[in-house]
Amino acid sequence: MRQTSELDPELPDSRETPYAAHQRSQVTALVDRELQALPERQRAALALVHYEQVAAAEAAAILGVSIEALESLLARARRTLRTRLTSLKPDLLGSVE
Amino acid sequence: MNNNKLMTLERLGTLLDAYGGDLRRWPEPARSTAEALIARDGAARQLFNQALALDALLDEASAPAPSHALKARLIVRARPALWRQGFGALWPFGPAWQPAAAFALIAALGISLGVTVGPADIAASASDDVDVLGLYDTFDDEDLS
Repeated sequence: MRQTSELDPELPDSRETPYAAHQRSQVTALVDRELQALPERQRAALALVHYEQVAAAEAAAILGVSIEALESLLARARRTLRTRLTSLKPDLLGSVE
Repeated sequence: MNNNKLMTLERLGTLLDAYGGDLRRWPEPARSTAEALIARDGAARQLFNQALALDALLDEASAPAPSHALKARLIVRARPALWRQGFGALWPFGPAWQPAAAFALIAALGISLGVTVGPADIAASASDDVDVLGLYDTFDDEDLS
């Protein structure tokens, strides 16, 4: 009989300590909040390219912008997130494996 | 964007800023030159690792919910497929993969984010898509400057 983690890789790792799980959920909540705080078009660009892995040309077409404008939206989104997350929790960018 | 040029550190930084460290998200023509620069240049590697760290953080988050405007965009983009299904003979233009991909994306966004793009949403969005697109054009503010 296979182990639970093999049946569903989305289940939390049972070896993760409660403290680590708590830390992880805090990070998730923090990043979620900062994502929601992005301007709508930047968030949409990031949702398409990062989370849905839509090709750049198609994402640009969906948003009705050029590739250059898409890259600008993405870069602003990522820079803002990096700056905000680092200022809120300086060790954060080194804390996620 | 010119991916045919020799990749410079500055261009690599621009692309890492935009697409992150997973080269599968990059425009295909830039990938091999970026990989070569990262392999031979320490500063490039540092930028690459910084981008990967931010990617890992983003992967910890839930994917952001699509706005009504984005859903409407996807629906408008997918609409030619609806037309072709019903009126194929009258609408033989355009590549078939685009609307199919748009529909798949709508489904993916809806499923992965727990948001149902149901018939009511589609009907509502489709009925006012002209207004949405009109408003959308006004989004060309400082975001794109």
